[in-house]
Amino acid sequence: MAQFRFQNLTIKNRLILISMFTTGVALLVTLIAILSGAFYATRTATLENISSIARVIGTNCVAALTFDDPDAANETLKALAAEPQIDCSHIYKADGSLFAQYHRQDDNQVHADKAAHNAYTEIQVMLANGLADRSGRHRFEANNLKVMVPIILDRNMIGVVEVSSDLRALYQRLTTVVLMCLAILLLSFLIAYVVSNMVQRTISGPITTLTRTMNRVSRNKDYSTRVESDSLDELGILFYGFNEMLSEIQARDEQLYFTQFSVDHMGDAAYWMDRQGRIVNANAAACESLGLTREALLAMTFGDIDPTFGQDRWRETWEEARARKSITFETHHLQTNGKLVPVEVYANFLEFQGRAYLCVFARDVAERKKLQTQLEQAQKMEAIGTLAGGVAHDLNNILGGLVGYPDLLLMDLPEESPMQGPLMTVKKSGEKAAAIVQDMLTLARRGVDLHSAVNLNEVVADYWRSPEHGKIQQFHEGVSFEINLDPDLPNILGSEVHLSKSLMNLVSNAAEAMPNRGRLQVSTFRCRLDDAARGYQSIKPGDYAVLRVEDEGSGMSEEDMRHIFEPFYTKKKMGRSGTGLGMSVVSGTVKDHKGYVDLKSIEGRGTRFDLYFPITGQMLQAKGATFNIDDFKGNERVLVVDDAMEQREIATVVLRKLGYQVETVSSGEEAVAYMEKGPVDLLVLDMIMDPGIDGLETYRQILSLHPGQKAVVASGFSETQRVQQIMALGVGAYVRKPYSIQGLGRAVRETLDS
Amino acid sequence: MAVKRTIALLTMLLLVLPAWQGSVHGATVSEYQIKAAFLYNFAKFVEWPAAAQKGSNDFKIGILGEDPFDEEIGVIETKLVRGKPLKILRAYSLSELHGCRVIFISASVKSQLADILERLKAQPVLTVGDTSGFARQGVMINLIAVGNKIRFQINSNAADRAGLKISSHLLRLATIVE
Repeated sequence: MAQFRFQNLTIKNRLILISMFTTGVALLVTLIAILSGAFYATRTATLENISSIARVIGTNCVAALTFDDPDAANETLKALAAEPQIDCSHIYKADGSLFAQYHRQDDNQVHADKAAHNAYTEIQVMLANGLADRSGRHRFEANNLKVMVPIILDRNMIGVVEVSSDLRALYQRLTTVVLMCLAILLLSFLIAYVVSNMVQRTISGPITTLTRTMNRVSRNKDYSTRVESDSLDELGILFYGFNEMLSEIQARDEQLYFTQFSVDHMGDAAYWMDRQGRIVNANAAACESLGLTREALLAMTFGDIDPTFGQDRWRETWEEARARKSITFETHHLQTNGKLVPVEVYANFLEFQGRAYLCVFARDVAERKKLQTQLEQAQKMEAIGTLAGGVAHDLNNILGGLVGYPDLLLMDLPEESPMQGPLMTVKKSGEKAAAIVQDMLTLARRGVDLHSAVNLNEVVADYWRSPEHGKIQQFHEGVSFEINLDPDLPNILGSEVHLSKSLMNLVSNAAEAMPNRGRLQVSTFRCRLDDAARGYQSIKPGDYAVLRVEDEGSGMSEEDMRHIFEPFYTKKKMGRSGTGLGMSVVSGTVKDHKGYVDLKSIEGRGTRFDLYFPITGQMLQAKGATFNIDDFKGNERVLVVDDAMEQREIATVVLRKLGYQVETVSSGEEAVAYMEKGPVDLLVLDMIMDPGIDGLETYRQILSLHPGQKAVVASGFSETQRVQQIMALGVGAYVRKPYSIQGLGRAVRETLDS
Repeated sequence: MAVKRTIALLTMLLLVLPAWQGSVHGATVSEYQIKAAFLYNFAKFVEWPAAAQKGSNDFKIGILGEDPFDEEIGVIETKLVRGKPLKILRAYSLSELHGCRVIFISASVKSQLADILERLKAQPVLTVGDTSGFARQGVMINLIAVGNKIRFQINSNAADRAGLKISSHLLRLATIVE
């Protein structure tokens, strides 16, 4: 059974108990005081009453005693019959002998004698004391009061009168009073209980409300709850304080929630570590980045997430952070899958409530590193491209003669001429040189014309039939070459020449990766990406036609994969094949086509290239008929504008061969001056001339002289903004340099005929 | 303290001696010893007029005629009455008892009683006798023997005439004679 403790009672019960106890004690003390007062007052009154009766008797018996007349004394005593409470009375003479007596009941003689005997000693003492006992004596016995009063005559004690009074009636009256008091006490208790029960509600009621509210708040964690109270007493102040506290908690909760939300939703991982390197707190990003639950993370130390950190380095870092408040460094964090992620760490030292912590923000810099690498790569490519472009421009002009003249010479030579062979060799060398220049220009991304629709299937098929592919097949006898083309492959916008070249480079590389034997497959397929794909490059969502080249060759290391598209980065023996620009051309071509490269390679297993090209709805143009020189002949007047002498000569020879009347000028300014004299049928306009105005400006000025002047623009580059502008002004065709009979003849004829 | 107590005890014994001897041990206390005590005690229950109390330093009790007390009167001779010493005078002639407040009229002057009473008439003197018939004749208090006890008769008219007031307590003990 639980031990009763006042402190364990509810305030309500305590208040009731206190009221009851206070009331009870007050009442009890009052009643006891009143009762004892009444008791003593009654006794005193009784004593005085009996004493005065005794004195009257004494006085009345003075003579009887003096003159020894007991009868008279007895007669006097009989008057006591009028006092019912008086049991008996005795008169003793000075010598102590009984002189007279009175008894209410005669049959109580024995009792009376006994009383008389009991009184005797006291009488003797009184008589011995004489006048010293003048005031008399009394004795309260169980049920009666004995009063002894001396009888004095002329200052001499001549006797003693003793009166015995029965107190039972008195005591009975007192008992009745006590019982009434007890009844009053009980009634008061009852009233006190009822009243205190009503009054306590004004105190315990609000407290109970407060307790309930507190319970609700702690149970529901709802700090918007408030205690309702309009009282202005201490409880009102308490409630006000409680509500204030709730408001503050609410505000703090809100702040805390915002802070926690920010911490949880920031991209960087955040850890709090103590001096020993234990992780005491971490945010959601931290758990996510390491692939751990919060519980698992909180059981770890810095060494578990950063294996590159030893105890010593931790201590150094801690001391450094403490000295400098915040430090930044790069390191690696270990994910659960065992992968080390490069991170940039920003560590802040903080002290809170006497303890020191490091608040560490770790940013995953893998992507940034990758982007940085890509940027560096792009910059490198850009620099090379610019260099290549510059070189190619000059080289292209020089190569004009090397490619153009053998054509013209061969046209004039009889077929059985012994010069046929050597001239063909010169032409081939020139063409090869021109191909290298084209590669370089492609690298510089200035040579692709994206105006015509191309189907990759045709590119693959044409390539497959080409003598270049035949040569590769011949060279790699152990390799089986397969193609797997998607018949529904959509078209793309692009340059067939560049695509073909890229394909050749890929096939060549793939074949060379399999020196003994293996399977090489070229395939095309359509691919739709709904979300950005992350592979070797990030590929934007969209519809793509994909050209895939895969081999079962030696594969590449990651290092090789990173550098494979750089110019002149090769693992092949120099001089055996290629220009050292093959893969750069692939990369440049894909870029020019606004496409992406994906590359997967496993060392010893093989490599797979996927080239993604955005598709187009444009239809394929009908292929030109086979070349027939007679189709391009004419006799119109043509003005060739070119700053390079060789180019002017070749163009003049070619066009004259075709029957045109050709004039040449070496600059834009000259061309304008020439045109002021009168119009020509056609202008062949070099795009880039140095010094002086370029093709575009020249054409503009000529148009102002002769609106609708027909023109063909020629350039080693394509897709420059100025070329686009001049095409928009009304130029009929674009001719790639160096000039060939076919290219220039077709362009001139078609423009004149339009 | 002990001295005081001894004195008190002695005083008490002297005081009560007559009554005690008379009632309880009658054989050893003589009749006149009791009567002498009565004589003395009567003085305590009688009020004299204020004029009678002035002028004298003692309380005189006179015995007229032949003295029946003889030596027995000695028990009271040394006592004080109302703060004054008691003085006993004996004479055969009334004139010799001038100034007495109480006069005991002996039986021996029975024949001259009427004359005596006539002479004492209207004087504040308490007359006491112990002779049968005295009260009826005009003596204020007359001692009589009832059984083995001494009782008394009071002639209250005579006392009234003399201007004496006899205590009602005393009257209650006495037989009243007209």
